[in-house]
Amino acid sequence: MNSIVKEKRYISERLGVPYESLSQSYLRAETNINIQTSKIDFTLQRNKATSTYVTERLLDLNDEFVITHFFVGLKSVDTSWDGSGVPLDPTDEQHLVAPVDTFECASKYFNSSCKAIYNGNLNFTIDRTEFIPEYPVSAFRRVPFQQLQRVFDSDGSQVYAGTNGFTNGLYGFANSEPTLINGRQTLDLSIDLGDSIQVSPTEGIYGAGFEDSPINRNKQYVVFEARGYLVTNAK
Amino acid sequence: MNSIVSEKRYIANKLGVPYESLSQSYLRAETELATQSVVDFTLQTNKVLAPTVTERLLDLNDEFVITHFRIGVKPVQIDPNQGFPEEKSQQDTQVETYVPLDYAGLFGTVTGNKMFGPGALYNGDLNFTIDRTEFIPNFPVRSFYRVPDILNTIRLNTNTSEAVTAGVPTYLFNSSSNVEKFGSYIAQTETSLYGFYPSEPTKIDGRQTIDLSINLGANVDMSAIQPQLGLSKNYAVFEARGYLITNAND
Repeated sequence: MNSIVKEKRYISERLGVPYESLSQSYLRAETNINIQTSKIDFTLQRNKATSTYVTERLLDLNDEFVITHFFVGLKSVDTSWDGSGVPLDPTDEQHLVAPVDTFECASKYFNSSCKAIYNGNLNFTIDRTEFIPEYPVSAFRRVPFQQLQRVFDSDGSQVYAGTNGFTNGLYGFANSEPTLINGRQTLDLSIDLGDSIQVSPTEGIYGAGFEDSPINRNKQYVVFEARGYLVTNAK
Repeated sequence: MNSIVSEKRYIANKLGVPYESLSQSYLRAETELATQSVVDFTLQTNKVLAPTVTERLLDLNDEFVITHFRIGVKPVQIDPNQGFPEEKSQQDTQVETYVPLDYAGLFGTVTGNKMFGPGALYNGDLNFTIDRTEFIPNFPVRSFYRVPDILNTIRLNTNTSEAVTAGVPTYLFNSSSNVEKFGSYIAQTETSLYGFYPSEPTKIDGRQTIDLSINLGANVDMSAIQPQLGLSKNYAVFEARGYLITNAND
């Protein structure tokens, strides 16, 4: 049968989770990187997150999740849709419209420093045991054939056209050994950049005349997503 | 043998449905989008007052085994002679997420510099409950997102605000006075299961309590361009492929 049946059978036999308790699902954690940092932390559990973004999907206290695929991507949220150039806190609506990308497309308002994450390494520790000691973030980088294009109108203003390609349902994901985590464990998940990097300049740093500068009006996020199987109320 | 035979054999053994009763088929439910935080779909004929012409719902006495599923988006633009030609409008697996600020995209509204739209669907999660048991508690709608190598191209004069008639624009050249876009491509669809995701084979029937929805987490305006003029509509489309068992509950 199909890949879902094979994965569920394997997980059931290997990890002892009842086959019928496994539901196709995902986790998604996001971290704002508009700061100077050498380490990007993710919080995967709802009870450990003080505030969450509307697009996050975290693990509840009594739930378990079996990771089969994982992904790190970039998201940019336009914070000044009113055109005033004044940076605002992103709204839920802005988060929902903003797509997640697999590379730092220069024409799409990502600050070039975002590239730094693709030279970093992902570290995942479960209950103080290193599950993934160092995994290259470059493994998640995908540059599609079809890309968003920056073009110029006859008056010199920039416009954008096209959409970045997205070829399959697991685009940008890497395979993982099926691994069970739960809402009560101590999970440490982070990207180590190796050096302190200003991922996004301070808002407004370019001052008058540059109000519409992308780096003045966008907030950038790193997104961790895990696909796999949710076991609700396992505890 | 091929995938159909192996699927039917598995379903017959696992779910106890006679092999010869399984017929390749599909279900399709559509929901018009407005400003909302939850998008509900109705899969059963007896629970829908006025289905659209392109829907294919489950009858009361029938059963269906889902093997693949998908969320798509469908824009419908008014035809002066035909009203809303639902039967001609095609589904898409993506929306235009970045548009020129003076351009009202097919899938979104532009008010000043703001653009909302069904792009929000792809950051939501799909929830599927069958007889009050969670079959899919949270499934990422982003799994159904696809952008092919060849996109729709259209002709658009941005200075005269010529009406937009199709898909994602591709700028081919700049004229001396306007940005002109020309094209004759239709967005590529590569396989018969393009945009679909496999599912654990699961049987539903026309009498069950089926709750199927996309949760966005916040209210989003996903209505079409100039909804106040009634010129176009946007739909979210749920489609399931699999095997129909007719009159299983007789």
